[in-house]
Amino acid sequence: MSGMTTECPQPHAEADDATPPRRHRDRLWRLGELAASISHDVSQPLNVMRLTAESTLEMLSDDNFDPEWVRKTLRTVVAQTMRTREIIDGLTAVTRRPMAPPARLSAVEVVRVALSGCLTLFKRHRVRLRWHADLASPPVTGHAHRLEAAVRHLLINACEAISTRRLDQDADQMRQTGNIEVECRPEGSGLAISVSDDGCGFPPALHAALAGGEPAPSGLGKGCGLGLTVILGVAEEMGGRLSIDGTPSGTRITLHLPAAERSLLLTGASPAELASPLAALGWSVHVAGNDDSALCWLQENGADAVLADGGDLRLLRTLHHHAPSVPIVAVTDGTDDLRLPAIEAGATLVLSTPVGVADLADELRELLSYQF
Amino acid sequence: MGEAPQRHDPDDAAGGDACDRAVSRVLVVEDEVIALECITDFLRGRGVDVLAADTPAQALKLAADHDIALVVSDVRLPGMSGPELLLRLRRGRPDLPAILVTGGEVAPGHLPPDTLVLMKPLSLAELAGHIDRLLPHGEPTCPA
Repeated sequence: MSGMTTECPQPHAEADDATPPRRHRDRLWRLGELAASISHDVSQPLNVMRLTAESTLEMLSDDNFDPEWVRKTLRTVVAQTMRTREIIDGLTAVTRRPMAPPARLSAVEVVRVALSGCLTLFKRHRVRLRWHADLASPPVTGHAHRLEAAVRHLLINACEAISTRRLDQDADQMRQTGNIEVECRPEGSGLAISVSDDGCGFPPALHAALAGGEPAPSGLGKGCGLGLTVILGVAEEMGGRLSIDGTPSGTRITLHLPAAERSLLLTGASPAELASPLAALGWSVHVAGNDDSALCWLQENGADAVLADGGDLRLLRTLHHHAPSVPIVAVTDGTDDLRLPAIEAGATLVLSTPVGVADLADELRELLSYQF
Repeated sequence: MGEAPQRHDPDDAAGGDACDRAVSRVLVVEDEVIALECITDFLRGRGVDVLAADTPAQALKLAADHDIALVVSDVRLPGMSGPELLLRLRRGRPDLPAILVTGGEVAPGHLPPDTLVLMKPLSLAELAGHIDRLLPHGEPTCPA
């Protein structure tokens, strides 16, 4: 599979030419896949609870039972009930229609959370993790728990691939660690989250199914195919896509996501002629006619950055007071005397006129890359 | 007053004598370590010679190094499914009795022949009864 790349079109919710009965059937089958996944996942903690309870009953039939051992087993049962809750919450979070609108996310932070939730998994599969986050990675728009679930499924699949590869190795090789490399980096106007492993490679049948836009087929004893369905679904709802590359040592799966649209508030006295060129560069620009409307807009809608007149110290102070986390770029006429007062009033960056659009866009991009 | 079940390290594969109990040695494969501990402790407390593995790779190695009379395996395991593991184990022992434990459905076409399937949540008493019935020696292994 080395060197092969599969671009995965999004799975069709319903085939265009599907007749109504077939649509109902497909829907039912997908519900069935979900039900099977929930049933399987929940049966794991239920199994531990029952086995632990039966072991405890067995222990209690002995007059000399160890109370500390019983306490330990009861704590295990309590922990498994919480695990059950987490499984149900996790599944409903990724499969239910979102209750809240998508929000701006730091993909780097989401990947970090997903990685921390998989540390036990890495230990169990004897995996060495390399994690690289480019701080210039732009934010994305989506639901944090859904993106986190997608990344977690990518990591689970990578661990599975490493364990599968070990089965064909001798005893010495089996003891060696596997390697997973996770990277979050800017890519074009968006970002890419890639998970590489040195496992057994991506199953050719799955390559073919995904290239055809079909949902991932189930594999006996290896889940219900829900993982890849979740990943593809999250990619689709975030306006992104998935690609799978065969590498000499394994597989790299990359989630390509568009960057969140960034909003910029131009206050009255700032160079309004920048609005159109910045919009052409992908910024959502709002021009406020006066100080009051700028403040109202900022309070009601928020903004990723504000461009303000560096000489209007009162406005700078007011904006900074009401939105301290929003970076303010102050534009001055080049007089050095205004730089320090503007910064003291709350400006994050001071630029001198004339301000070029490309330079301003670069400055804003760099400025916002440190916001998370 | 019975003897209290002892806690065993699941990695401690050498669960009994090499020869005299081989006829009743059971290999238990379960990646959920707490469940593995519960099953192995319960069976050992009832006199069953148990080898414990929490990965298919470990199970294959134990089976290569020891005589196994019966396999109890989870269906969903890291890297290889329980049925796949069973097929490999039966390459050298086609008549190896086996019990698969699953939290979901097993499609009939994927089920190896002569294999008992038990659903989770598993009952230890039920498991012990099936093990007792399937072990080839014909004598009760699990005292009432």
